[in-house]
Amino acid sequence: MRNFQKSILFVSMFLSLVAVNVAAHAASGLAELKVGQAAPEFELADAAGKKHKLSQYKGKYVVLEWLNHGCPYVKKFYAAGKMQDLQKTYTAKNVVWLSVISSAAGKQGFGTPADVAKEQKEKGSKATAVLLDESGKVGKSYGARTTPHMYVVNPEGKLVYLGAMDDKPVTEASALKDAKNYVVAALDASLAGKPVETASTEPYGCGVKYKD
Amino acid sequence: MQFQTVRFRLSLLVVFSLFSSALGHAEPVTAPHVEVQLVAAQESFQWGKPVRVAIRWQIENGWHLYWRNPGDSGEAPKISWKLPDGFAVTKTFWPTPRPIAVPPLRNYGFEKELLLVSEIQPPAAGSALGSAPISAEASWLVCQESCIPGSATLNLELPANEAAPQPSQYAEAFTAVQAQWPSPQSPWQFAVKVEDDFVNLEGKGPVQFEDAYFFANDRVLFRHAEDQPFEKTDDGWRLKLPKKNTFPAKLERLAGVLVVEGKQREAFEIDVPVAATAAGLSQSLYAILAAFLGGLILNLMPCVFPILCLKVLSFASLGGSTRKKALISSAAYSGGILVSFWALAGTLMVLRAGGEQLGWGFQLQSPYFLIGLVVLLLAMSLNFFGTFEVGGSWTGVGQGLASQEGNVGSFFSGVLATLVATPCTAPFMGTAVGFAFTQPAYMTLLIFTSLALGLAAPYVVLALSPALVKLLPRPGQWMVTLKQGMGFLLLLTVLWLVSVLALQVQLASLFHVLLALLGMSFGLWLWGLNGNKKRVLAVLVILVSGYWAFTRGVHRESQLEAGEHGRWEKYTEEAVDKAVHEGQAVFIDFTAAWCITCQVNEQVALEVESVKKKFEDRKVRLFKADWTNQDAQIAKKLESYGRQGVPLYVFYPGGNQAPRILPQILTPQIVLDELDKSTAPLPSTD
Repeated sequence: MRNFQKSILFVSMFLSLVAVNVAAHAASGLAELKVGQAAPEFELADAAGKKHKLSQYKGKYVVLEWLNHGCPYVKKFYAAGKMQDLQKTYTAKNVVWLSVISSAAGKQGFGTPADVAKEQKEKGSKATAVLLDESGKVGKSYGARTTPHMYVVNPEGKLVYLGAMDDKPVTEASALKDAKNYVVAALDASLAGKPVETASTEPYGCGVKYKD
Repeated sequence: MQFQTVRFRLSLLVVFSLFSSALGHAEPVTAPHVEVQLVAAQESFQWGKPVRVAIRWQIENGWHLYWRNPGDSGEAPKISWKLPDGFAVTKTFWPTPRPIAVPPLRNYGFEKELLLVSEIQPPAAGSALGSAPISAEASWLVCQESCIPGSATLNLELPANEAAPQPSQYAEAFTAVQAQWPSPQSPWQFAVKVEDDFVNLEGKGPVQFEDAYFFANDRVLFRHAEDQPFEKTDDGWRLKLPKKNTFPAKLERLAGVLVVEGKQREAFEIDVPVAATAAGLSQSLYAILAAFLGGLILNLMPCVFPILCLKVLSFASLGGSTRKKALISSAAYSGGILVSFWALAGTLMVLRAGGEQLGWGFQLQSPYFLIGLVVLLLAMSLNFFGTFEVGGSWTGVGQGLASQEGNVGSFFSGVLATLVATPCTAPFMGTAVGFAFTQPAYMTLLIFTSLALGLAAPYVVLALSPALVKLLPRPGQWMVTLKQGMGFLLLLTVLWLVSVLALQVQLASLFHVLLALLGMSFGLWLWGLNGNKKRVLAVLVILVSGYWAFTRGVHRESQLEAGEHGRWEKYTEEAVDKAVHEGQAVFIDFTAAWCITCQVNEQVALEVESVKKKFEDRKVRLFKADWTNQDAQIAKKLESYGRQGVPLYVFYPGGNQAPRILPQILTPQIVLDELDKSTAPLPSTD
């Protein structure tokens, strides 16, 4: 009996510690993921209402791109056709490319499924799907801070790259030419079976317009 | 693609251009949500006197601009100056930012107004110019919830005037904004400790505030949106900064703005070296290994090589003796090296604890030490030439050619090897010794011990393997010849040390030193003639000479100031900061006359035509930081690069790119490659 009480005490102490820890980390509401960690599972609908789960793409490389077409940094990549080129190149290599919109209703970048479908067509997006994350839950679970903020997930579901698209944190399209593209480097290395050299960088761009 | 880019830029960026030549300011330019203006604090400028100008953004309510570290998102404003020849921007003063919460993100920036002041230095001599056209291309990102990039070309014509300048209508704003600048001086002694998830920023000193916040200059370090827990400690306070996953494996300095919230909000600009907290095992092991390798290679350096040679010679003469004797002799030699390295490390630690900025080779900054070394080496060379013999064999080296070397002699030849080794630096050594002094005392001693063992190793290995000893030729006349030859090598070392001394003392005192050296040589020759009377006289002559050398020979006055450096400018922190700030490429050569490695590098790799030409083509500003004499500024700078001694070569590729550190042994190719590698295009500012 004594032992039983002791273990109850122990377990509850442990649980409260966990709770305190979780609370501490939830302070900013943003997760802080590291390379090598399992990419958090999610289920989101695309503009056509079709559901996509991360786990359904196990066995393939998955690129996650945080998206807001109103953001000048996103425009830099789309207006020059750069983002579409990348989407086309890598989906052709059997990579799954998911663009995620975490803007809350009424905020920049948000759109109804119909708006998003239209925009997707207008911009000539070649992504596998554009996913709607109005609640921001998935964005926060990935610690997505900016648009764009890029993640590369390997076939085992582990993160192999997270951070900026390239090393030129500016809005000017002229900077695309000499930029070192981290996502391209990560994908090319991974697809060739090599380790990713720069696996974690500081993302740049507009803040993700989460729900208040 | 090109067409698309152009169209994109026209549609996205609102580019304003305005050419106006009003006094002290140009008309403001209106852009979405901001008004931008280039203003000066005064109506005119005087040649050679700095003048302050500023870009002033007036920001619509609810919108904001960013600080140099924008935080979780956004981008800092950029200015690209176009100034008349000879004019340069020397400083830029950022006001203290405010955190701007955009949950769950946090940005650092400014609301309502940003007055970004820059100091422009006009050339000293006035040219024909009656006024200076100052032009700035400013670009920025202004955000509320959404963000809009903007840019403008701003022009200002500032007249030159001999008379003291009148304040402009903006002078008050220039004065007022100073209250928002972080103070360069703070009342605390800082320590930065890197832990697993946090970096502890600790301040020792008064705590008259309840909270503090640290704005890091670098955005990759900390999680901006996370709280920075503040607590008071026994002798100050501690701020816990939450690390981000992009936090670098090795951080040398932590720089940024510290804001404390007490009765009022106060801000301080800080730049603190990061304490290597109980370095990881692998890092320590690496340093110990590097030290050993460095010590090993030190044997081949010009200063130590003769000593090693002579030790080997003495082995050849030991040829027939027992293994036991060889072992004891090598143990004594190693002991001599170890004890002197410990003494050296201990002395350095004590002096550094006392606040002295000293590093490897520091003892050669003392003329007394130099004279002592010169006297010793000259005496040795005379001994090698056979001018005299020392009965007690206390100098040891080579004494055992015919007879056997005493163990005491072995011990002292170890001491001697260390003494003459100190002006040399071998590869691996710089990093190891640099690391040693960031560590607790036991680790410092361990690294120096490893260095000592490396230096002793070749001799010990020889002692432990009779097979190797057998390879040496039989003793004979060749040994005497070799010994005399070595005497000349020692004389060479003497000459070189005298030339170092020449940079530290007055020319007249140098003559006294040489005179004393002659006197001493005479005394030693007398001693060698034998006979009691002569020996008494010899001792007398030697004592007088020694006294003469140490009293008359040391009138310290540096000849360095007058030194001719040619294309090389004299290093000052201000000059380098200024050049780097202006985006110029800068090469700094940290050197000293007593550092042979430095001299060799300069001759072999820096002063060759191909490299000189490349420096010119790349318009690299060359700075020489001469550490021949003690210099706290240089010592501090070396430390900031994790070094305790010279040589050190630092290259700033320009355009605000991070500095690169070149290897300690240079070849022209290494330098050329480094210059080519970093010719990468500078970040565009248009």
